[in-house]
Amino acid sequence: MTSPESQNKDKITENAMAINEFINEKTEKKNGISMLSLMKEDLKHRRWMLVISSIVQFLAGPVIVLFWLTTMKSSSDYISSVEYDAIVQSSGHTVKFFRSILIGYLPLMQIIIAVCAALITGLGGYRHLFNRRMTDMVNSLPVKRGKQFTVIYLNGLLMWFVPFMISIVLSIAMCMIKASGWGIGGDIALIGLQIVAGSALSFITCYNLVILGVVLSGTIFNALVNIAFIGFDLILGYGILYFLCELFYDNFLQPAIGFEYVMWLSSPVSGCICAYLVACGPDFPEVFSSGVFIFNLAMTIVIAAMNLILALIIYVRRKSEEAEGGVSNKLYRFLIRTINSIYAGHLMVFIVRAMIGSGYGGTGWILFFAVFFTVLAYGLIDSIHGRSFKAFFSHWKQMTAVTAAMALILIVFIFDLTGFDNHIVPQSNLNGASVLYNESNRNTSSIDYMPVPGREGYIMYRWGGSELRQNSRYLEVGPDLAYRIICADKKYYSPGAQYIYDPVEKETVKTWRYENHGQEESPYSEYLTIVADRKVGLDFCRAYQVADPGIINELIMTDGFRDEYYKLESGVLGYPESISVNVGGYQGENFRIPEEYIPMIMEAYYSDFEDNYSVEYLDEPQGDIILQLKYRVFYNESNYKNDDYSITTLSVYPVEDDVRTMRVLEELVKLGVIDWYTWAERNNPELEDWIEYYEEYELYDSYGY
Amino acid sequence: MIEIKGVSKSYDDIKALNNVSFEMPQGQVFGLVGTNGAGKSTLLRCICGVCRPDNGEILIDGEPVWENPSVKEKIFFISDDQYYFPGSTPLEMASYYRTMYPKTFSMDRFFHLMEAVSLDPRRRIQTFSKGMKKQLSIMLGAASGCKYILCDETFDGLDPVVRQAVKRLFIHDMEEVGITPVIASHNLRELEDICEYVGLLHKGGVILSKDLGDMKLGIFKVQAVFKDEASLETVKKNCNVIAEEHRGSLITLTIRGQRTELETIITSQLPVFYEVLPLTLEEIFISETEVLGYDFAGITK
Repeated sequence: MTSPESQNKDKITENAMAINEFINEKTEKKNGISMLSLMKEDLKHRRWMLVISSIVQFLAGPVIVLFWLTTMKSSSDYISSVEYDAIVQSSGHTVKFFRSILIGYLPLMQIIIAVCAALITGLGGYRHLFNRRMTDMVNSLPVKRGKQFTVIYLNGLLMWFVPFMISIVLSIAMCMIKASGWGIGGDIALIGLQIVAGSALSFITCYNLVILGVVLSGTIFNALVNIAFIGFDLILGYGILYFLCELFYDNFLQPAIGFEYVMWLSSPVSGCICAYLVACGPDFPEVFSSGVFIFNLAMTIVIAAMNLILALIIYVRRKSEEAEGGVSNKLYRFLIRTINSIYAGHLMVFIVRAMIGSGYGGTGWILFFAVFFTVLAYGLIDSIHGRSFKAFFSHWKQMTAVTAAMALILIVFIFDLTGFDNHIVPQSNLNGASVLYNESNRNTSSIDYMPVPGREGYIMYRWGGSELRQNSRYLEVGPDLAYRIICADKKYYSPGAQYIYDPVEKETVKTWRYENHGQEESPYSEYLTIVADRKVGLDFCRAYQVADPGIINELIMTDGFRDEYYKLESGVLGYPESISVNVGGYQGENFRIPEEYIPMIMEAYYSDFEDNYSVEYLDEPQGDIILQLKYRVFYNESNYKNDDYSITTLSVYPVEDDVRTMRVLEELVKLGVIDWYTWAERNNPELEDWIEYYEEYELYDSYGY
Repeated sequence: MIEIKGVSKSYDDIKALNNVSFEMPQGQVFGLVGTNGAGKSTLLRCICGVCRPDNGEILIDGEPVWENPSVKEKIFFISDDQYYFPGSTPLEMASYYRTMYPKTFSMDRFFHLMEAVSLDPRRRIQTFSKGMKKQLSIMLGAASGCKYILCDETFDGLDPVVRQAVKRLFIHDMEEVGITPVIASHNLRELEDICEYVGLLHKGGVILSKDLGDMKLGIFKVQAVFKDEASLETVKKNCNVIAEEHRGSLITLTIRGQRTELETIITSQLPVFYEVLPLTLEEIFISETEVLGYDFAGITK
């Protein structure tokens, strides 16, 4: 017989089982919570982000565009009234003007907004990872972590995307309404689509990076450190390496791998660059359609996708107790503090070097500060990760090893233990070299010009990086001269013409020179850039300081040098837009030459140049006549299809033997184009001689004397 | 039923749970008691799927709980410091939990409970006192309709009247709806009133896990005055004495065993006086942990 107590217990158990069955039945019918309801719930608690996003988009988009469209006539800062009239009259100009608003402002502004939005939505969406109580609540709910991640991710995306789309549609629509009747609606719509694509790319690359940084940490501060580390440390490392070479290697010119390749390794940088190029696609036709860009774009998207997948995996596997903690992954923590402390040490090297100035010495101080800041950075990062200053020396063995490694790296550079500067390529291993003469001493501009087919004007090339080698202004020399240039650089450091291999001795010679004689006492030298073509091994690009006048003259007087360097000789630059003559040097008086005399002057100058070319042509003017040739130059080679151009001045200095040029100029004095008094003053310092000069040219009457 | 099988969990070098195994039967109030740092909160966090055990597994109604929404929707976790969204009201939190527990959460019940404890569902939670926030978390848990309500130090901060009300609520829900409240607490006197089943944790391990009634039937406090020392020694020899205290001639023994058996042994020694008393849960806890050296005997030295 059962007691009433146990009967009651049985009844309770029966009830419980019945309810359990009921719950199970319902569970089978509908398993899980819909994604939409989760997103709505998440959105409720992040309304402030949506509000901020909407306000910013409203101001940066429709309001600014409407402001411009309604005030463009009066906005003299942006457009002159002449241009405005042209815009109104010509649909071509209208398109150009709208493009200047749309492409010049909207993509850049939208990319900036996208980056900020990615940071705010990424940090705000996954904020529970920084709060243990919230993590407990969120993780106790019947929602899979992958689903949680997806919901937050999509909401963050929508919080930026929806206001952005409304903003961009309104902005574009306003431009199209303004331009209605001009037949450019298609163009404007296309620009709008490009801005959407570009902005989306920049948002997603940054957003995914931010999320990866967030899921790796338990506090906002650590998340920001992670974002900076993952996003920029490769670039920072490259920059530090570059400056170390620049600072301690005399012959260093440029690294084997240019920055234009390295920057693609940084997800936010590559994302924003790609985004801008996508948004402004038609303005960069060559870049946009090139295979390199497509590859970089694909890589940027792949890296962004990898960041997202990695973040998802880490999120799902992440322990709840990591909230409010530092960084839990020990390997990642080690990497962060090791790399960043080495960076901190090296950054101090640059600061100390800047404080010391251009003088030599101070190696001990450099080492001291570098070591000190490496230890400091290592300890601080460890303290941040461990969330206690007690953790400063918690990995003292690693700290010691890392500091030693940093000091070793520095010593390798300071004392050139790799022999970078002392390396002389054997002549037998040289096929030859391409040589670039010192740009700063040349009396031509440091840019290249190319005529625009069918147009009046030139395209201005500014070259650098990987384009150096392809630049036509490189002078090809044989292995013998190449070898002598390299050796001449080494002679510079030794009065006895002996090569100095020992870095300490080399430094001593340099210090001695500086301290005892100053820069003026150093022998005359020229910087030559050499891209050596080796029989065995890769080409290398170095800068050499050559103090041997024989070698320099040999280079200058080669036909190749004259042809490639001095395009005036071959008349490539043709006739300039206008010419001004400075009499009495740069401080003297300036006379504008009438257009009809331009061919006469240029032909005379070309003839003189052909006959009298010498080393002097490359020096600063000894005389006091300067011809300022003003050319119409388009802004850049990819943009020359537009009408945007500027006037660039190319100064040339006729030498004494340039008699044809001088004769033409004297004719212009007679014609009153150039003031006879000024002209006479430069040649005849005595007043009596001036008067005689005036009489000779019968200039009294023309000036009313 | 909640089955905990060989569960271990460490935080860096700290072992919070060490091969814990026991069962929490369904339809009963389970009290989880333990010393400070014994791992009660960690165990609850593992049971509700917040933490993943390093070893072992936790089964709820035969299914693993980790990343299993169909199991987790049967569990509501009330932490010792429940999180509420900044600036939110009870109503907004209820709405949130209704989304998360769409099948079982009852807004009617929520309003009813809020009215019963005189909490305004539209007032900002940040203006609530600590005790009111605790009340709210319990009301949300009760309204969730979940089968398992896990409460971490829930009674702390509640006034005596509310504590009694909450106990009545749990008992009511247990009888009417079949919920299984799991209550972790230090306040053993509070638990004693409500718990039917108790698990004792100490230093990450389980000392015992039993029906409270059975537990009390297996351990007693005997106060006695024996004629001589030999009688006491005989009793100590024949009984499983786990604690002993002398106050003059009055000897208090804590003995494990059946009441009839130990009474037979004591009476056989013809004591001057003896009385067998049941132990409170607190006394059982102290006795059991003392055996393991958790007595801080040296604190007064």
